[in-house]
Amino acid sequence: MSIDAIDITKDFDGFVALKSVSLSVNRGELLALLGPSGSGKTTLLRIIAGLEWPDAGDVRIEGKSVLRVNARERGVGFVFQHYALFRHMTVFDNVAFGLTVRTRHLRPSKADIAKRVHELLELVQIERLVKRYPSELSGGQRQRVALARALAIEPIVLLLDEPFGALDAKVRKELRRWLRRLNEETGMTSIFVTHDQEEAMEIADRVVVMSQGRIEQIGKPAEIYENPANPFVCEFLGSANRIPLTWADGKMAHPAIDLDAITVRPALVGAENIYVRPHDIDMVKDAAGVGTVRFLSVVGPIARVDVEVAGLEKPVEVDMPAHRLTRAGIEVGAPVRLTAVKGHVY
Amino acid sequence: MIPGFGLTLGLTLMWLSLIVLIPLSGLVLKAATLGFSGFFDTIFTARVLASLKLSFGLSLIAAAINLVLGLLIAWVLVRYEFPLRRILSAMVDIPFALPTAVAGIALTSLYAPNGPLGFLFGLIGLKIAFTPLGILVALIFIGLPFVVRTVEPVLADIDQATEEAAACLGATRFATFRRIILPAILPALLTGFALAFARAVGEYGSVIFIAGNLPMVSEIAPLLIVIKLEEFEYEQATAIAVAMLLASLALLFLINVLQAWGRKRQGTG
Amino acid sequence: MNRDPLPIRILLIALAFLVMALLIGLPLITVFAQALSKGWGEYVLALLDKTTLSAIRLTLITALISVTVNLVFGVMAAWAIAKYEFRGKSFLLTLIDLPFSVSPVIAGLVFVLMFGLQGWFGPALQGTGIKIIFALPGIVLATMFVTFPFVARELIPLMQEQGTEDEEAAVSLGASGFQTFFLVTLPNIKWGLVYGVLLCNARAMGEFGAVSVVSGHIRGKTNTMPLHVEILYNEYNFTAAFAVASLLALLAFVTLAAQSLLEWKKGHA
Ligand SMILES: Nc1ncnc2c1ncn2[C@@H]1O[C@H](COP(=O)(O)OP(=O)(O)O)[C@@H](O)[C@H]1O
Ligand SMILES: [Mg+2]
Repeated sequence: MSIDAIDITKDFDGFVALKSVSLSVNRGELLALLGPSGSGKTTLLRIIAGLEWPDAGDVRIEGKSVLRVNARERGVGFVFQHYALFRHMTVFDNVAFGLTVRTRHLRPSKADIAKRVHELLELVQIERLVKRYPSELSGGQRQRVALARALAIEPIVLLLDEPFGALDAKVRKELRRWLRRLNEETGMTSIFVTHDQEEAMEIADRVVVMSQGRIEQIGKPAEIYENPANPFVCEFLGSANRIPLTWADGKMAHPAIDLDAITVRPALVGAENIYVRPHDIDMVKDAAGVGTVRFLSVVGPIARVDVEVAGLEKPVEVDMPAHRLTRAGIEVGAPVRLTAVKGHVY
Repeated sequence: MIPGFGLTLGLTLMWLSLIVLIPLSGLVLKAATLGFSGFFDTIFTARVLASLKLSFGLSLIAAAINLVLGLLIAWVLVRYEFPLRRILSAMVDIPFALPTAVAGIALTSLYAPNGPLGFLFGLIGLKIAFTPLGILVALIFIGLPFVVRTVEPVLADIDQATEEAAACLGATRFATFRRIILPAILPALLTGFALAFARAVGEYGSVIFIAGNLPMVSEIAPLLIVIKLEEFEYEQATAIAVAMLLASLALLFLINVLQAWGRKRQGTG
Repeated sequence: MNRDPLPIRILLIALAFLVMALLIGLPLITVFAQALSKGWGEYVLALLDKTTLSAIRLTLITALISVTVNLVFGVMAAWAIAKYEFRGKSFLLTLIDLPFSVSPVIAGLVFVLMFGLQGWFGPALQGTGIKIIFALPGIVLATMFVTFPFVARELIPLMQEQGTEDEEAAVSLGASGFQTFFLVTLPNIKWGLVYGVLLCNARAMGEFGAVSVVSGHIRGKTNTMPLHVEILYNEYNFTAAFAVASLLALLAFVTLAAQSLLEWKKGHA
């Protein structure tokens, strides 16, 4: 189902958590809401689910406003950040809950419920835990129960609030790929919240970047990575060196870093800064260079180098393949010359 | 290892024995001198049976009423913000802190036929003070905090998200209460119920003023013990006391079981 | 947390206030209204009566002795239970709690059975001229019985929560057991200790049933304040009865106010 949030504003006793947020989610899409903590992601998700009401704006599912429909009748599957499993119920009863609370004429028979629960537990690969209580499960297993429980009611859309946030790295990777597959196989429109850009980039069809109650950019992962709309998005998606610019004859320059390889659109002429990612900088040893290597660390195949440059407050971060580092004879204290090959000007 | 284990545990056991255990065993020993038949002959007299029935029956009713009232007050205190909430919360502890004799005479003068509430109830033909109903009022008074204070922390501990999860899964407010909230607080509710019941069974001070103390009608078991003592019928007093003590121990055991169940249910979920 | 619809919220809050007002508010008001019904002059006069003053004195002495003793042993019990692991610990806890579930009347009865004329040690005592029952020692013993758990109960969870690391550190630095307790443990538990003492004191001063059984009700000699309230009330001297009762009610207020203060302090620590 398609979801539209239109001009949503939400005010918590004077604190504006969402400011005219508009968003359209296409049928079958897997969308990531990405942003730092406190940016309003959860609030937006809760408004879509009917757990919170906006002060202004509208929420439409398949084009129909659902603001008069409460959470109970909205038929939205919601996976809570800390799972919110029912502690006194077994895994089976947790998953069956949404079916057993239906009014009599809509409730499946006991046998049908059992069959459905087992199918779901198979889907999330924890059939053998059916009789356990939540306290007897690991974090990843709890998350799977929460997913199965939300799916039991055959929701029209699936909303997940930081679904993998509390899991360790390995389980997290496994579960997010599983979510991607689920979305592909069922075609269920899904929105998930995350503050981890890698997670969003890896599995989402489109990413919505939020900050301070506003949407900063919406787009495909590659799109927003290649063309971040503003400095916030640029810096949030990965580290970037901010380099102040001087302009002469419509050409930008920096006294210490060579920017000649980069061309800018005429509209951006006169902008204050360029943001250059660490791996978009070429570094060579050069006795006449104005940079000095201050710090150097090799993490697997990548060498991370901090270069002190006169006139810049922070050292410039440079990433380069580790094998090139030794070949270029770069070491702490070495003088270097920097050339930016790509950057974002704002 | 921190020093003092032998000393503190030894003195604790000694003191516990001197003040609590030996005196209580004295009671049991005294009862033993009666023999089984002596014990049962004493218990199975109409007056003693009536008093036990009254004490246990009314305590049960009072605890049941406290279950409902206590849940209401705990619910309101935990879930709502409103003016005077702190005052209301502080008032809950009054029955714990107010000496029972004070509660007794205050309730009596309120519910006596010439007291303000007694007069009002009189208009609808209800006599409260000096009848079993009066005893019930006193027992509700002293039992109320037990349910409130045991349920409150458990209710506060319920994760709001679980209720929202239930709503998203299609549960009505009532279904959420019945299937999520009630099972979560049930051990605490029953513990509070048992504590209120145990306290009510043994209660003396707040009851004797309002009870009327008519043999066979409004004479509670603890009062009968006192009366037997004053008549120097030590054996009979002992027999009644032992019967009550056994009931208390059974209740204590039940309360421990309930609390263990509650801890399990509250488990890290 | 406004999860329930407004009308339901208002209804439940109103009900809670109604219950608390009827059950607890009105009796409290009654105590003071009756005490002052004939004006401040009569009130003060009732309190300055010779037998009233002697009841106050007896209550203070009783509370002083029993609270002090229970304080010392409560701390020891808490130390032994919280700082060490040993078998039978939970059974010991149950035993310490036992007085809570014994009817106060039985608490008095056990001492009559021990030290009364027909009691186990009665004949032996008679020769020595020491009087326990119907005298101060009996009153103190009965009071100690009913207030036995208060201090320990308050301290045990607190000391368990704080673990043993601090003490182990102190001991490893060469502190003796007493130094460890007074310099390390005591500062950590002082507020819990104060609270336990307050509760213990409130109960000691207000105890009615247990003391009533052992006191003998000798006016001006073995009457504590609650017993004095009873006598005055039964003599239809309501103003004086409620005047003494109002002092006890004030004691309850002070205890609860101190409790709120300590909780507030804990929250802001
Ligand atoms: N119920 C609430 N009452 C008051 N403030 C809230 C409430 N819910 C969220 N907020 C505030 O709104 C902002 C956005 O919160 P949230 O949507 O949870 O952010 P995110 O999920 O992106 O971390 C936060 O500053 C938070 O403190
Ligand atoms: Mg959030």
